[in-house]
Amino acid sequence: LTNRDRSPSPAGDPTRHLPLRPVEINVLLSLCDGPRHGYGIMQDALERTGEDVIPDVGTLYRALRRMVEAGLIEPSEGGGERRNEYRITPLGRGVAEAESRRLEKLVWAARNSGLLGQEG
Amino acid sequence: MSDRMLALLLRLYPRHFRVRYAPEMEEVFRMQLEARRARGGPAVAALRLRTALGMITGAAAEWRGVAGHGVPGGGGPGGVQVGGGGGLFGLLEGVATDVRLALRGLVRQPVFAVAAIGTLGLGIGGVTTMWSVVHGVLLKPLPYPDADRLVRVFVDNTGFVQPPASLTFTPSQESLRHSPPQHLHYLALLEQSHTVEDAATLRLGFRGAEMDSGSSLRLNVGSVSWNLLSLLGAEPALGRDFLPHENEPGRDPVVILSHDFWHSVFGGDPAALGRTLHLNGDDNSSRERGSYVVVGVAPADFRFLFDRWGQGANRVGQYGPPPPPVDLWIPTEMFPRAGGQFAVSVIAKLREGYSPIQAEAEIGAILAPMEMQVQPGGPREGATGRDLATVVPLYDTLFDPVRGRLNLSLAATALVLLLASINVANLLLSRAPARRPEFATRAALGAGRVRLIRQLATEALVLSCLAAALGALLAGWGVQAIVALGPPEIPRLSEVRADIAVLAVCGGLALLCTILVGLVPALRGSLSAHAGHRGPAGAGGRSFLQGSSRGALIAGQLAVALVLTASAGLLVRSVSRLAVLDLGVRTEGVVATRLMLPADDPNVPREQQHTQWARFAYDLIERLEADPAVAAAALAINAPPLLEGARSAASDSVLGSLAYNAVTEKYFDVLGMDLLRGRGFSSSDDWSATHVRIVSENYVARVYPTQESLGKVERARMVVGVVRDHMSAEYSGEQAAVRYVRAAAETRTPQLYVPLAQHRSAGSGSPGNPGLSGGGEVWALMRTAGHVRMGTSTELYSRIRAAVAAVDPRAVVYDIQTLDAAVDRVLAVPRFHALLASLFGFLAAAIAAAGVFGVLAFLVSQRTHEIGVRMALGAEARDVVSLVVRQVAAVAVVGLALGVLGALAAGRLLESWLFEIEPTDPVSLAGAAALLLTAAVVAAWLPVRRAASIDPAKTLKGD
Repeated sequence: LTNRDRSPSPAGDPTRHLPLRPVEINVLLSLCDGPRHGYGIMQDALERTGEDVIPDVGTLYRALRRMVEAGLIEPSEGGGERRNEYRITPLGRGVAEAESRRLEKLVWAARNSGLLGQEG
Repeated sequence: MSDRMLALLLRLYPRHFRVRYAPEMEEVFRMQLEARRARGGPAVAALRLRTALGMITGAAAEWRGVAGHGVPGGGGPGGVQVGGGGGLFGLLEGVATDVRLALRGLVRQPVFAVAAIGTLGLGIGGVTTMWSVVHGVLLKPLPYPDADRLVRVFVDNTGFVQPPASLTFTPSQESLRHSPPQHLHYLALLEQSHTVEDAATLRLGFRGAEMDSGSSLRLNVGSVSWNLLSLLGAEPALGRDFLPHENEPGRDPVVILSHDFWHSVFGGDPAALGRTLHLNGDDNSSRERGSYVVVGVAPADFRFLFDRWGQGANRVGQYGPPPPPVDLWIPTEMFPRAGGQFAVSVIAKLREGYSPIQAEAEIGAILAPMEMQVQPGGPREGATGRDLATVVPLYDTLFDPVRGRLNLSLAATALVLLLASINVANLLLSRAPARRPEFATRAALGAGRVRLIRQLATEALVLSCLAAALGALLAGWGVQAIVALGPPEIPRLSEVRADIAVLAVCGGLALLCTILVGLVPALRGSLSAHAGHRGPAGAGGRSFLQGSSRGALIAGQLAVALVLTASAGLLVRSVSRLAVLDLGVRTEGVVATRLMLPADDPNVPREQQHTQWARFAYDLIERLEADPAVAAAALAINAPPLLEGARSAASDSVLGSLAYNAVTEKYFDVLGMDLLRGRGFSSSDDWSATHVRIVSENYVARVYPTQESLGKVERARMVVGVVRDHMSAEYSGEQAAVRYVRAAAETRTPQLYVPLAQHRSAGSGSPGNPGLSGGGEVWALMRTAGHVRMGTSTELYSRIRAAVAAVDPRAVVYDIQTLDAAVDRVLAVPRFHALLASLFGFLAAAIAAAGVFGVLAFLVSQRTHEIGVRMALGAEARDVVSLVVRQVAAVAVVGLALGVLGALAAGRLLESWLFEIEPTDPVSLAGAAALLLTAAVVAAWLPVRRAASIDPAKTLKGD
């Protein structure tokens, strides 16, 4: 029983939601380009990261539930009865940016420590 | 359509989550499955496994979230409290510890773990697979409203002296009882019956269609009464259903498209309504050629589950793969008078409260006076009204032939599961004494009995869960394998999916078994906690297997295994007999194709048509033979042996029925049928020459038992040759059909051949012409030159199509196949049985051997001390080994003797599946017994041998 299962806070400060889980950042990245339904998000994640790391349908929807509650994304109309689409909120976009910056720093640090080899 | 596994797993989730997300999740999962399906079974199984695991862990987390929020409706902000302890979490933590302990225990004893999980997993997987198949095929209701009231109505012809002349083989009583009714019967039934609420007719056939592009298509057509779709609860997806008057003769021809046909030909365009289709006439319905107006499109999911009687008259009593899906539905013209009648399938819906038996009596009475008008044979003396109708629930017509077979397979898998359970029980029992010290120690250290029981229960749970997971994986593959390999005769097989509920039940049963058995050491262990725990129990017993239930369990295992392996032996031997059955023709290298001929122009005189037809035939043969791959080619107007298709028969007062065919000269060469006496046909046997016939051996034996047949003149034809018999009709592998093959092999129908150019049209002396009635069919047969590899002969097939197109572009080529493939297809069913049975038999033998090995390995490991003492006292290693092996062999013989009784009983159940093999076949029994005895002895020998080879000084010091 770890600390992993906390919902992102709905408060205005994006950094309060960090760090995101892989499934969450994947969802946000997918929705940056426009609204998508669940399968679209999954396809997108597949193209981005490959088969073995994409979430299963249970993990995905639990993440969607959390993120809707935290105000990072919201359901949007359209897509038919069974296909709800999700769209990113301004807060969600902020969180995605913040998380990306955090990851960037992390990668930078990794590089500095020689983990990824030096770059010119 | 929601996936059953996902639907079940979704139930684990909080309600508010399910309500909000379940439909979407089902949709996403369905799309994932679809994407994966293209990549084959393992990919799908992997996705399922991953999703199942994710869903289960997710459900736990989701509930924890709910507990943390305290607001089941969700929406509460803030991070979730975790690790909050509480009674539930404390317990969970305890369980987690137990699970860890259990897993560690399993890892420490890999032989035990693999044996227990492997055998149990195989059992669970097997039963889940077969049960899923049985459920999907047999237990699901038919996809029609009030399906339990739907029946098929047949005419019972057993009361007639003469069987219908249209049959090419002597019909069985069963097929006579299920003769197809005619429109007259249907109309009378509709008008007069009180037990029947509504009824519809159906007849399958095919029609040629000339498309706007100028090409021709061969379409499968269902000629139906106007109400068939509505009777089966289908509403057109587009346009309208047929109207009542559209069955009356002379109405404007209309057509309803199947959903698939609408999509493939009209691209799913709603503008297809009102378009016309130009159909050739055919001899399967009285409709002439003409333009049919599209009035509707059938719904996508509408299909008629065709049974073995599905095609009406020419298929009575024959078993075979289901007919291809229907492209078009057209209303049949129904003439309210005798003559010009066609046999149809009648589907009726009984009024509520009436049984098929009541309906049979009533309909029999309605049909009785009519039967006498239409049946030339006349009623048998003393025939009662009840004899004249047979009413069978629609479900039974579909599933009777496969029910027994599937249930037997299910029983076989249940035996495998039983075997697996015995095995695990045996393994656990063997382990029990060894664990007694462990439990005694733990009890002494203060662990309560509840705690110990909980640990053992957890161990059982972990074992069962791992086995169930393995079983799930195996069931996923197993179901896919059965769907892929299964014979097409089994209705709805392609819709079968692995059934997760069954998996849960099997897992539960296994769990129960392991818990019960697992608790034995806990109870004993804790009861005797304070008794001395040094020294393994049972040491000093006189025999390895005496004084315990282990001997009985080993014997029981071998008995069950023998039933399965001996049954497998019977089926395998039966298939091998079927495969070498002399068919009377040489199938290798023969390619056959059906040709649908263009309708004749009715304005051309008959004689001239015949000339045109003969020219077509001989041009075609010439072109086919010009192909370097074709050694010889022939044409025939009826289906050649082994292939399904129209046959015509002549009835004869002496012979009953006989098979008739009109063929070109090389027909016998192509099929490898030996000419025994006289001459074959030659190109000079044309219409103007003396008319001749060639007859078969059997014909001669029956008609001219004592005289010379050559030179005899029959019906203005002279017998000029005698050929070998061949199996008269196609044979298929359904349960009853094995019986039928047996009959066909024994009683070969007399055969009669005439030259193609001398074929007379039925009932007249004028030249016959397959194209005459329009849409006629002929068969082209080719023997290929040796170097053509069959099975990969698509190039040859396209050259054949090109040759036909060059002779007449309007002729349609279809059903190109090799005779070998036809034989293979037929053998596929019994082969599939035998494969399945062999799999079960092998599994059973392996599980039994693993059981003996596991138990002996354990006992021996506990008694290395005793073995050491014996050897220190001067016993040779060989003596010790042979002592143990002898004891095991004695137990095995007892078990196998019991198994023989079981196998004999099983053999009787299998009897109708066996061809030329007695159910008491000693070879199968002895072979299976020898196999199992060997397996048991080897399984016992291996561990004992190892123990005996250890230096006794070492074992004694170790003590």
